[in-house]
Order: sequence, then C-alpha cells, then structure tokens
Amino acid sequence: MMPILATVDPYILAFSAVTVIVTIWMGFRSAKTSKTASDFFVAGRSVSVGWNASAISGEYLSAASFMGIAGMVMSSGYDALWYPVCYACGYLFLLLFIAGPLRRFGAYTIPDFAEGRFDSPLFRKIAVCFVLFIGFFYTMPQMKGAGTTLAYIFPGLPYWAGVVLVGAVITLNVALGGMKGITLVQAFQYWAKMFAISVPIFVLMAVYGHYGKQLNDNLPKDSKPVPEALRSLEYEADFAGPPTLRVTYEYKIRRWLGLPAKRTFFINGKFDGHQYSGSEIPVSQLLSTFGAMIRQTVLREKSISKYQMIHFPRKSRSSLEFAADFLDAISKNGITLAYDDNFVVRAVPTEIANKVYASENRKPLPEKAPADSTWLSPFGPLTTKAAKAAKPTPTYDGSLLVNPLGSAIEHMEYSLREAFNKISGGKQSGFDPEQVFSFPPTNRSAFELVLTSTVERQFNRKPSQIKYSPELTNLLIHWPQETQQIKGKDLPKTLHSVLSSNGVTVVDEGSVITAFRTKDASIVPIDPRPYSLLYTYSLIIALVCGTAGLPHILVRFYTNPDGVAAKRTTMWVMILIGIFYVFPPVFGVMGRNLFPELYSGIGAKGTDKIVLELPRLLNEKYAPLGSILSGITCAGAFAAFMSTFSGLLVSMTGAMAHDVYGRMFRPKSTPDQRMKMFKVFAVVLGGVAVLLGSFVEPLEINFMVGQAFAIAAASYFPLLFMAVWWRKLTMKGAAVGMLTGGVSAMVAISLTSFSTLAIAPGKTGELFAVFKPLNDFWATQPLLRILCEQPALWAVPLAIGLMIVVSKLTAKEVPADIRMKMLVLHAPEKLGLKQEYIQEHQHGH
Amino acid sequence: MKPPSSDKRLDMHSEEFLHSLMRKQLKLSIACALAFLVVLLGLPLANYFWPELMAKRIFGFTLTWFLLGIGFFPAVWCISYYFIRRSIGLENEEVAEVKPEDTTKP
Repeated sequence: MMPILATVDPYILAFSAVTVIVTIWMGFRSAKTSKTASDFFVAGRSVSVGWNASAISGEYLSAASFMGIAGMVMSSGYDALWYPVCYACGYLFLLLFIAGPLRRFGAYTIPDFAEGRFDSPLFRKIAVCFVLFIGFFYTMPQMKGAGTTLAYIFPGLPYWAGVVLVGAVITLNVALGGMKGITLVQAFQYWAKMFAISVPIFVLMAVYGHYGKQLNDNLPKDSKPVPEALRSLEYEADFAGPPTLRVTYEYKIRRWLGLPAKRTFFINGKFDGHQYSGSEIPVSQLLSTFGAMIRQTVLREKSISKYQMIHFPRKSRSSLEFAADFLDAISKNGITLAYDDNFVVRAVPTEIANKVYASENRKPLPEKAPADSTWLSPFGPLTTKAAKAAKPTPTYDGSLLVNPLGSAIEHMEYSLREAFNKISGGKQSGFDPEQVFSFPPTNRSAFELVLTSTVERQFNRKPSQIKYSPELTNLLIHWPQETQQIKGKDLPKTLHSVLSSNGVTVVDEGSVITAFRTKDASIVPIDPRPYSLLYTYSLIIALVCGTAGLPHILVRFYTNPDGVAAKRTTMWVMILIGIFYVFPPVFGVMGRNLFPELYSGIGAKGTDKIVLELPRLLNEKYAPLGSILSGITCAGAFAAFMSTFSGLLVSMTGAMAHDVYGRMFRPKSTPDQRMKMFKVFAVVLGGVAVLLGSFVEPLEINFMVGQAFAIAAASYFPLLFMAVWWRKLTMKGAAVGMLTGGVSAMVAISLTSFSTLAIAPGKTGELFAVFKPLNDFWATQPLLRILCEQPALWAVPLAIGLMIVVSKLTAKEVPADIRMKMLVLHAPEKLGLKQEYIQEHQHGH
Repeated sequence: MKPPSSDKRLDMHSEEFLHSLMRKQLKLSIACALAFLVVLLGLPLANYFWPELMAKRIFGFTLTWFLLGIGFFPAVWCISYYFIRRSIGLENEEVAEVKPEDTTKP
C-alpha cells in the first residue's frame, strides 16, 4: 500500500474524501428524519420548485454524464454529442407524453403503474424484472466510473479494486439505511456536480483558450491557422521522402481529384531531365487545382518541384471528401497546409510546422487517435465502426485493362522488392526509390504485371514466364536459360503481408487472377455513411425513448405539491440539465488538444478519465491550482456515481424486497422481516453489481449507459406510452410487447458487448474468448452488428407492434373500468377523479 | 375536494369528454413532439446531404457542432416552455368545460 500512497496527490485525495464523507453523512442524517416510503415522497412537497428541480437533476446526472460524455467526445468526436443532447431532450419526451398522465394516476413507480393500469399483480411482477435488468445495465457504467476514478486517485491500484471498494462502501451504506433519495441530498448533489464540471472548465478555458478556439484547433491537422512564425517563413518543401509515403500521397490525390477521365492532366515528356510517360502532373499544379476547388484559396509555394503521377478513378466524390483525402495525403507526405486569415494557403514542411505549433496549445496526436477530419465531422468513428470493420466483398466492377492498381502497384512493387531482398539476402538491390515507374498499357492481369515487373527489376533481367501457385506459396520463374524456384517457406507470409498491407486484394478464380485495390472493392459494396446514419437514428431513438423509461426518474414527479408545480419543476429541470450538458463535451475537446496521451490508454487508463486528469495540467503553470481543480472534478465524479449507484441499488433492492420477496415468496411476511430482507438483498445485489462492474473495464461508460437506455426504450417506454394513450391495451398485449422488446434488445446488446470484451487484452479477453468468432460474423454483416449494438430502431416498433396485435387478439380482457382509468390519467387533477377512482376501487375489491 | 353535483358528474364521466380530453392533449403533445423531432431527426439528414454547409465555421465551431453541442438546448427549452404553458391552459379549459364555476380560479 505504501508505494501507492506515496504517489497520491494530497489535494485530490482530500477533496474526494470530503465528498464521500459528506454524502454519506447527509444521507444518514436525512434518513433519520424520514423513515417510511411515504415520507420519502412527501418530503418533496415541503420544498420549493427550485430545490425540487435541482434534486431531479442531481438524480439524473450519473457517471455517464459527468465522466462518460467527455471521454466519448474525446475518443469519438462529433457523434458522441448525441448522447448529452438526447439525455437532455429525452426529458422533453417524458414531459410530453408520459409525465403528466402518470402523475395524475398517482403511480410512484412503473411496477405500481403496471399493476394499477391493468389491475394485475402478475403484470407487476413482470414489470419488476425490468427494474433489475435496466438497473444492472445502468450500474455497470457507474462501477466503471468508480474503478476509473479510484485508479486515478491511487495510481497503481488495479481497476477491480476500485470497483470493489466503492461498491462495498455504497452497498453497506444502502443496507444500513442511509442514502435514501432525499430531496436535499440530491439537490446538493446537482450543485456539487455543476460546480465540479463548470469551474475547472472556466479556469482551463481562461488559460488555454475558449471552447470555439479549442475546436478550431481541430481543423483538419494540415490546415491550421498560420501562426505569425510561419507567415514570414521562407521554406522549401521537398516531396521526395521515402517512396512509400510519396506513393500514398499520389494515390490519395488521385482519389481526391476524382475527375472524369477527359479532364486529365496528361503529361508526356521531359521534366527536370526525367522522362515521364502516362498521366503525370506537377505537384504545384495539383495544389493550385486544390486551391481552385476550394475557391477562395490562393496557393503560395516556393519550390515544390517534384512530379507526381495522376490517375483518375471513375467515381465522383464530394469535394469535401476530396479535400479530406487530399489533406490526409499531403500530411502523410510531411506537408502541412496552413491557412491564414485571408485564406491564403501555405504548404509548409510538417517538421517546421510542428516546431511552430508545438509552442501553440495543441500536442501531437498519437497513432490511436482518430484523424481530425473524421473526429470533427458527423458519421465518425463511433457510428461507422461496424461498417468500417466489415470485410469487403472481393469484387471489383471496373475493368482491369490499364494499370488499375495505379500507385498501389508502385507501392507494392517497392515492398515486394524489399521482400525479395530479404529472401535473397539483400544482394540484388538495384532499386532506386527516387525512380518513378511506369507501366506500358497491358491486358495482362495487374497482379502478374506487378510480379513480372518486380522480378524483372529485382533480378535485372526479363523473365520469360512466371508461374505461381494459387495461394502464392511458390513462385516458378522461367528465365530464358534456366528456371528458378522461390519456395514457399518465407514467400507466402511475406507476399501476403505485402499484398494486404498495400491494400491489394487478390482473387484467384483459377484461370483468371484479379488484383485490385481493397479500398476500391470496399467502396463498391460498403459506403459507411448510410450505416452511420442508421446508427445515429437508432441511437437517438434509444436515448430519447429510454429516458422516459428509466425507473428512477419518474418517481420524482410526485415530489411536487400539484400538477402546475410539477410542470414548472420540469421546465427548470430541462434548463438545469441542459446547461450542465454543455460542459462535458468541452472537456473532451480540450482533452484532445491538451492530453492526447489518453488515446493510447486502455480501460480505466483511457479517455474516460479525461475529466479527472485534465485540470491537473494547470500545475505546469499555476501549481497547485491544477491539483485542487482535479480534486474538485474527482469529487464531482464521486458525487455522480455514488448517487446514481445508491439510487439504483435502493430501487432494485426495494423491488426485490417488496415485490419479489414480500409479494411473491412470503406475502405474509412482517415489515420487520422485509426490512431484514432489504438488507440481505442490498448486499446480494450490490455484490452482483460489483462483479458485473469489474468485467466492463474495456467498455466506455457512456456507451454502456446508452445500452441501458436502449433496453428501457424497448421495454418500459412502449408500455408507458401505449398504456397512457391507447385504451384498448390489454395486460397480455402489454406483457408480450414489453418482454419481447426488452429481452430481445438485451440479448442483442449483450452479444455486441461480449464480442467487444472478447478482443480485450488480458483476463477479460480470455473469459469472453467464446464470443470471439462473433467478430468475424459482424465483419460479414455490418448491418446486423449495428442493429444489435443499437437495437432501439427495431425493438421499439417491435414492442409497440406486438402490443397492438396481442391486445387485438385478447380484446375481451380490456379492464372493465378502462374509461375511468383513462379519465384519471387524462382529466385535470382539479376534477378530483383520482379520489373517486380510489373509492370505487376499494368498494370493488 | 368536494364532490361535484350529479348533473356535471355525468358530463365529466362521459365518453365524449374523455375523447375530447385525450384528443386535445395528444394533439398538443404530438405538435410539440413534431417540432422537436423535425429538429432532432433533421440534423443527421442535414449532415448527410449538406456536409459542406454543416462544416462551415462559426466562432470556431463547425455549424453542426454548434447546433448540436450548444444550440439544441435553448430550442428544447422553447418547446417545453410552450408545451407547459399550453397544457396548463388546456387543463383550465377542461376544468371550465365540466365545472363552469371553477374558471375564475387560476
């Protein structure tokens, strides 16, 4: 323990410890004053709209809101913004369709409502199951938050230890009766979280630049604003460099241009003493074409004098995509494009640019970080992952008559040559990387062309024939006088890696061997954008509908004196959480610029801890301010996962103790027995939550919460929505719809999570290794993967559809007093129908 | 709350009242939801079909980032403010329909 403690930052530890102690103390203190369930609900009636709104907001903001959003914005960029927006907007949906009627009906929880609406204790039991399902899915990310935070505060502490520690403390606390959802505690929690997220951000923005400026630093890497130092720079850009880079550049530019073949820049002849044939174009011309395409831009370049080969693909692409490719290509060739205020573009060697920009506020991104263009724009890594992971179907619709591989050939040839060099011990290296190869038009298959040309250059003589086995295990080279065999021991491995690393796919169809760029093939069947759009919509549905189905949110609508106050409260809740949700993405954006090291971290050491870690940067300039602010965000994180975890544990334990034990197993149990069982169940459920939580380190906090929302969206939301607005819904219809929708969403979600866990490093990966083959399946079926990862798109309509169909079939079972029920749900509270309804019910039973 | 007189109770419990009640409420909710959904579901479409427009910079943000990360929340506040005002008004109207003597109360 000593070495762990030695590295602990005292400020961070102090702030966190104070939060934990204050939260527990406040919980116990309020728990003393309110013992019964009705106290719990009535408590709110004595407080004002403002306090109540703060309490609801405090209950709502979990570890996902506090840590997860920032982490996900950092790791995935724009697409992650849907989470905070939909977390906040989901509340509107709840307000529009469900909150009012449920309040009038006087059902405190969804199981209460389920029983009351259908007069069915059985249905109550079914509904209770989902309290547990959704609860467990929702506790897992809270546990990840706990593990991540503790691993940050105590460097060296393993992730699972943090989960166990926090889980044990909260479980014990809940079992001992503290931590009830008391208005005052929750309201305090909101302002603690608001303070903890906003103050560090304002300080960070004051020091490092505001939100917009930080985002502006994410201009695609190669086109940052020109700092003063670069404006006066006289520079030379040399495109020579290693051939692999050069060729990538060429290839990308060709994709970028994407012009119809007639508008070629066809150059034949001599430049700089080199003989060129084929379609070649000076880089300077390319750059000015680029300038013309983005219109305002004037290009200034001093001596970009090398020449590049240009070919034109058939497909047209939007100019934005071209620009992205172009910039990417330029950057891979060590060139940085910088705009100044007048949209004058300068091409500067990256080496020089980096030196200049290093003194600016952005650090270089590690390999694992997504590129600026994909990170900043919609349909980025989060939503296109499934489609990108998909294996291309090896088909190519173009004809292969004229050098279809283009630069890939050159690239591949270079690599093949290296491979041959390795095989032959490097004796025959006549390869000149500066040389630009050109191939005569030919109707031989491109792969043979590469092979022949490589062999020819490698051995400095023309082979008369090359034979190769289908799997490329053996090469038989016929020279005019002799036959040489290159055997399979090293060859296939090398060749295959050469081929695939050059993005070339070879399809052997016996008599015809076709080689084409893997990219071309993958573009033909899989354009990730439509998939991405689908993913986005499914995510939106899950989050918006899921909010309405979260078990612990509805309860708070009753802590208001009347319907009007309840509505005012909701308005304030929307404002409070809306303002809160502006801040976490700022952490993500700043984290990308200032703390890119986290991209290389995995699990608890990854981007999910950016909120905790980022403020500490201030120590460089204003120690110990950074530690203090980091301590504050840690305190906020504790407030977030502690309140949510204990809230969930209370409602899950309550469901087990009162519904499962009290009503199903021992209906005649005394209150004392139930109280005892409450404690037992708290420990059992807390233990299960800790166990589950310790497995999910590789998954993102925000992602897991999104999945809990998806399950809620497919189960509780259809139930509530239909039961409130459709009087012909029967118990059987509701049950079948809710069970099918919820369970199928849960299975689908678990499958994707298992497959992700299966490829995680370490013990987790071993544990879930059974699910590894699933990833191969996803690769062939990207659409299925998206529909499993984000099931709301089909699961919500499925649940609603089943409810309608089954209700029609069981139309006789519509409750007899349905009109009265609907009146209670919809008629203004002032009419007093609720009391009347209760009286009638008491007479009836 | 004192029980309403018997002739008005009939009215209050009638199928007709329930129908108009639910229709009015649903209409309001759906109108607000539509306004909300047009914005919410329209943004991905705008991103899909006009990527260049959405990538325009304002205050350093891309347009689409600005809309989603900041601009969305006030829009939702406007919708919910409108809904809350209308639904409180609607409840008062409904009460007035069956209990004319109560309309003077807010």
